[in-house]
Amino acid sequence: MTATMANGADILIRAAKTAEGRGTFTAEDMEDLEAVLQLRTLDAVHRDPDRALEIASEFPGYLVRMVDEDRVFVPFNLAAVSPRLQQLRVARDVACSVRLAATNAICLSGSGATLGKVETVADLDFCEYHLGTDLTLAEGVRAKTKGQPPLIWVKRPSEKKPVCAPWADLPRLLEGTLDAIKLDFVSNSALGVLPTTTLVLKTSGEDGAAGKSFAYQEAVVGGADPVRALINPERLGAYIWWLKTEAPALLRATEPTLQSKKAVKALKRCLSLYLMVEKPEIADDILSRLGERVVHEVVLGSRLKELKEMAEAMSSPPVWLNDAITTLGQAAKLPEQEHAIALQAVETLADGLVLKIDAMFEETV
Amino acid sequence: MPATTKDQLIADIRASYAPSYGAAGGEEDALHQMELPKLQALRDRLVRLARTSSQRVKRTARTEALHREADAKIEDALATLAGLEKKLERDARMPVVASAPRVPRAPAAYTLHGLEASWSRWVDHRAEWIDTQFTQHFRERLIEQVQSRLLEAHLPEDRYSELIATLWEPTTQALVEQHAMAAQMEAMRLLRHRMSSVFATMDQGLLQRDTLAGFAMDSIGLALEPSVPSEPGPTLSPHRAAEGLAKLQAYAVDYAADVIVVSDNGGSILGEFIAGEMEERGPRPKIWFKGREAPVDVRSDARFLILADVATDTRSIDQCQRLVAKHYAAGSMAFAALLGSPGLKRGPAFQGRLFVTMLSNDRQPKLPWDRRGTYKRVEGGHLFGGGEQTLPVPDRFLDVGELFQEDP
Repeated sequence: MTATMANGADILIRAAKTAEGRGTFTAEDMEDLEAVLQLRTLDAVHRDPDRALEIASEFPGYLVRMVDEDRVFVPFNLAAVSPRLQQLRVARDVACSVRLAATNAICLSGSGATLGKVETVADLDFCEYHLGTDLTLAEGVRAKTKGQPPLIWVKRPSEKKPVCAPWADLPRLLEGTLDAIKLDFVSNSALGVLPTTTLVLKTSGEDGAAGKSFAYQEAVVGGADPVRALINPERLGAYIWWLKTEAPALLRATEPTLQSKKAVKALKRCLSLYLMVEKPEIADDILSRLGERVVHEVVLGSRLKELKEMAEAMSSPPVWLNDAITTLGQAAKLPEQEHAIALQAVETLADGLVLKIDAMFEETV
Repeated sequence: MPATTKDQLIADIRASYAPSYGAAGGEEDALHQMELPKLQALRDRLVRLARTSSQRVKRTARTEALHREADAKIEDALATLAGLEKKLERDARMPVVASAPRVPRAPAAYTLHGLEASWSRWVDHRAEWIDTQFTQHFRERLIEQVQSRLLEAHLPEDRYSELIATLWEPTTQALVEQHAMAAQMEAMRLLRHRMSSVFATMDQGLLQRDTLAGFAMDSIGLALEPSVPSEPGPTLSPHRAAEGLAKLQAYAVDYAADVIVVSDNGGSILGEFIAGEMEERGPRPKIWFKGREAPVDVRSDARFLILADVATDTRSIDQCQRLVAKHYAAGSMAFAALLGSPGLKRGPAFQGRLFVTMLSNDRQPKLPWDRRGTYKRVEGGHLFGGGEQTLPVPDRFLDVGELFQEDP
């Protein structure tokens, strides 16, 4: 056979460049990319920590496992880091408590989707694909203002300021066409007291607001089966390019709300990119750093900051939230000064990885 | 035979496409379950991809440079994280100050290797004056001071003193005799401990209190868990703060100041501390706060030490200098400052000698009290910091003139 082996990284990077208008993709390239994705999916079988993921033959690119009576779908690129059974069980229950409608597909997104390898997260993020109308979406949001877990903020991505209790501005926010809306809860589960967000996107598949998120970062944990296609070179390319540009953008960000978490977020974007282009030696290294106590402290610091902000926004925060804030504050082992050094080091690490990614993209022609 | 054909196709696929994570066990079954035509198509595409892949990746001088830069950053970050990780490991083994058991620590906490490494670093960084003064006099004085303080129970009476004394006996005392470096390190911690005591008696602004109390707490933490000072990162280092204070004291003693002139709260803390230390060896110098009345009964050949804290700037030193010159017809002046950074922005505009101790080797260190970010944001108000020129050594004299004129 041929003496040269491929690992697919180059064609994935070319897909990213093409999606950004910086390259061309022939029909042959498309076939090659599909073959790579097909094999990547096959290679991801049993790759998860529980060795439970199987091919989801109806949904190319996804793997599937049972969590009690529910099916959970994991994209091929997240298989190796996907949460364990108990984590998925808890995440699914939290997802069910925050989702607007049981018929929607709700996905565990962001760092939550990597819980199998990175157990400390600053927050839980979900993406909910709303398959209903504007009306049902607005009704769903209104209902959430009265239920549990406590809803703190509601925000349209296009608006700067969120709406909060007592919800006087909510009717105005829900007026007109609703394609995307973000809800910030604080949840209390076996995963801890966590800031918990859902980005609700109105769609029937790839249309509507679906493009505001990427299916490659989402494990479908409840409701409908996957509504997004993973074997989609254009979206895949766009996702990889987004990861490439998002990491340095985060590092440059000056928004005060991002300062405590931007470094770890940027590091996770790099991890996602390396997981996608299958560079395990680097991805594993990032994973081991994310598992270190120093980074754990940084992440907990970020969680604590956000929980405090949420508590301040509530007229009477629940006892468990106040308790969690106290406990987290007491558990912090790094003095403020060293916390700042750790943050800076994580930032430098992410900065170095960003340069490596730049080099990797530049080397691929 | 179909089975052989499938096996061969799978072998071809594996020879063409490198599964980065190795076999997990499930994928071979999945490949075997594929229909033959699909498997064949997959094989053909992957073989083709393998053929073209190597031509698609080209390293250039520019990407090599990017890799090198990236590797340097990653290495730097990992070293910092490893250092912090190590500290957390130690802390996990060591109870926090408030709940530390009052039992002697195991001698193993003071490792010879660490002391030697620390000593080497110290030697590498000191300036000529420090080399002679410190090694010949100051070190001995510190050892003597530490020993006498311990013997005379001269430590400030607070909840940490007993702990430190407990720690001292017998492990550290033995090391004082054997290793001068151990004494120096401990002495610096005690000096800073003394500073915190001085500080606690003074009515300072909250900002300064937080900052200096933070340093003091760090030093107490270090005393409980001795660690070898490492190269500080871009943040003010407690090790350097302790070192800087010790050197300022040495300088003030050596200069034999009669009057310490301070410009603000931070400077007054330093002034009180140094005056207190000098008082133990001779007459206590007077402390003159810039905004208050000039001391009387000052002899005609008085020696004025103008002392500035980490927030020093040219204006502050200049003002103090003019103030001294205005009130006193004769004498000599010396300038000492505890500064944040060795980056030199512009030269001092005053006459006299400036003794500088640095709190960080970084030109733009983060200041704990500056919530907005880095030193860069406040560098405009500083004599040092953020400039193009970096002092060749962290601590040194700048000889820019002699005594001020007898007839100002």
